[in-house]
Amino acid sequence: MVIALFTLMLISVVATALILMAGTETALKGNYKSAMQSFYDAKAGLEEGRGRLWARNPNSIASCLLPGGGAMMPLGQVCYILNPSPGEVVNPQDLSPANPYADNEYLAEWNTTAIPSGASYSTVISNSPIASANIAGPLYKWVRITPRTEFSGNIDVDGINGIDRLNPLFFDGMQQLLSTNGVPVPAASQVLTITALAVTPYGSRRMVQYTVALAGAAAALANVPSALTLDGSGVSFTGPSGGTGGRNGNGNFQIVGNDVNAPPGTQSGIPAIGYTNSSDGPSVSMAATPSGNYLSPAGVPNVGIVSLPPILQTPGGLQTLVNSITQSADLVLSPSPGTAADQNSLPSAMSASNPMIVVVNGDFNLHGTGTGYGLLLVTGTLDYDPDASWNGVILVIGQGTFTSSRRGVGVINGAVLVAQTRDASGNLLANLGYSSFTQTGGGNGIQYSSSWVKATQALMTYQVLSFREIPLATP
Amino acid sequence: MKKQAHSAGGFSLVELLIGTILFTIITGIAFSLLMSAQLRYQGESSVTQAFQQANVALDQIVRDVHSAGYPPANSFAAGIALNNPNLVALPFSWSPGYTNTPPTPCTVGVSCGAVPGDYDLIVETDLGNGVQWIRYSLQGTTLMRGMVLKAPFVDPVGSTTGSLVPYLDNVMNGNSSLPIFTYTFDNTTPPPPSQPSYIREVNITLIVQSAHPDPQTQQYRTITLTGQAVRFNPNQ
Repeated sequence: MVIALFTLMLISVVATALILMAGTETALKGNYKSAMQSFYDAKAGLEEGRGRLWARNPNSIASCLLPGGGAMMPLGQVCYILNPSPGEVVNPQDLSPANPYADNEYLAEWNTTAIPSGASYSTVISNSPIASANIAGPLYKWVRITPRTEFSGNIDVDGINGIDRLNPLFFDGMQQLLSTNGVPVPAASQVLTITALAVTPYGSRRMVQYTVALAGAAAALANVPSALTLDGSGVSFTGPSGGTGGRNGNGNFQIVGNDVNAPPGTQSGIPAIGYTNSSDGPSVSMAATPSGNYLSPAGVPNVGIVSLPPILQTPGGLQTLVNSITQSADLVLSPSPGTAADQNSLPSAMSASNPMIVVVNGDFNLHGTGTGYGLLLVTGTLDYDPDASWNGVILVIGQGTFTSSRRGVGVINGAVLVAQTRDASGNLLANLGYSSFTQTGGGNGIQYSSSWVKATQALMTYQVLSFREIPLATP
Repeated sequence: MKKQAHSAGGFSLVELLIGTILFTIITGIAFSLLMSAQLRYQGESSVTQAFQQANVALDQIVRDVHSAGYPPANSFAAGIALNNPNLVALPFSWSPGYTNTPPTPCTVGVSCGAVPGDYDLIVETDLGNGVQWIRYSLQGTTLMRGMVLKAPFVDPVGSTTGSLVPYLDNVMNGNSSLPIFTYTFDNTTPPPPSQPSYIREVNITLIVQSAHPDPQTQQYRTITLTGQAVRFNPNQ
């Protein structure tokens, strides 16, 4: 009996030791897993916030950001996306120590003792759980969206007068800019901060933050300078030699800067052809004949020099633009070297009510008789058969070559920009090269349309300007 | 009489001997089991401790790489970043060529020297007190970590050397010639050059040896942890 008890005791000791060891190892791995899960949960919250900022998102949170309307999120406005688990209350506004989801970070960023309330405090519910399928979403608790200031970001953006706390920041596609007196910076979009907190059932907490703004293309498109813009130095333009007047037959080529969407009885618009280097003026003007083919509103030159936002002035800036557009693209085509993609690759769902962003990393043949809608970005050569039409904006950035030698009845409603940023080997140039636009066959040319330009601008999503993790102490 | 004496109770000498021998054998087995378990426990504790320390180190490296490059140059107006490079976080520092204006990029594994390299990495990020250089460097079998505020126009390698303190002991990557850090670059068309600014992912492998040899085998045990850290900040 004694022996049996003694043996049993020993076995128990051994078993306990084994269980303890296994438990310790499981706990270690569990902690690590929980920490990683909370990080990616928080990241998922950022992505929901970023996605729902987009005006075309079916669950857009525009009313949360701008409850009173307007074009700019005012300072002091705060929008939360709440994501409570079933039966749970998530109230970031409650800053009591007992609240595990208190948003104390807001106090640090805005140097205040309380989160705004009343009309300045808006909430929406997360749409990440799919209730109909009984699928739970990521375990972030809240996502906060606020305007960004120098103070909230703790960054002296302009390097003068210290940290400003009264004026929101804007982004022009290349840099952040400090507004003055609360007036939005022209050709730039407001910078917003998205902050997300995730807490897992095991208690891991992670807080992460995005700085976002509308993609640089949105800012660049805010002020299209001309119906056809030849960006760079030593640019070349060749148009059809005949076909003045009329727009309904082969050979009736025109580039028209008059805004087709101007209110009835009014006239507005931009130059028909714009170039960026004054030394190109004579050659482009001489090629733009007969003059009746190139029209602009009264007081606006038919062919003239235009100024571009910084992002469109350098190969690096234009490459940044290409990258940001690619991030927002509905379709990216990458034809093999030596081959070209064509209009048959365009999405069938593309329509006037559903314009899209198509990026072609290489050559593209826009042929056929159909119509495309949205933004077309071609980094190689764009060969255009003017039986086809395009409603929106066409960017030929890269090799910077637009060719068209056929006749047709198609038209480009919107605007076109051509810029050479790469050499024949694909290397980024130090300075913009010789962009080239050649349309010798005819077609109905280019008609500036502010509506289509705006529709294209609205396709741009919010891009991430920066990311950081905010260190948290586990309560 | 004899029968009465025998039935009066007690064990015979033979019975006692057998009982004692059995007790000794079973107790010996039990104690050897206990001893074995104790040794196993000590060995496992040592490995678990190494695992825990390596896990913490791996997690910290991953966190630092996640935030590498914050704040980027686009957070400032034009010219500010160029004239005040200490305000801007490039994702990763390098040497040589870093102190040029603008810095001359190097090619990882070719002209970058040791940083960023297989055993040395400097992350640039702002954790709340300005942009810092956070350096991880394997020296012998110790992974060192150091943090200093980024300074303008000075070499990050020389600036961080004095700040390095032991962070993780018994790292055996050097002995195994297995890099701690390997790099994946941006996946763009055309592919970017293999320069520090285009590092998108840092793959981390830590081979850590237990502090004490296994009491049973007298051999040091090693564990291998791997992790992948993505840089979330955009290119500049």
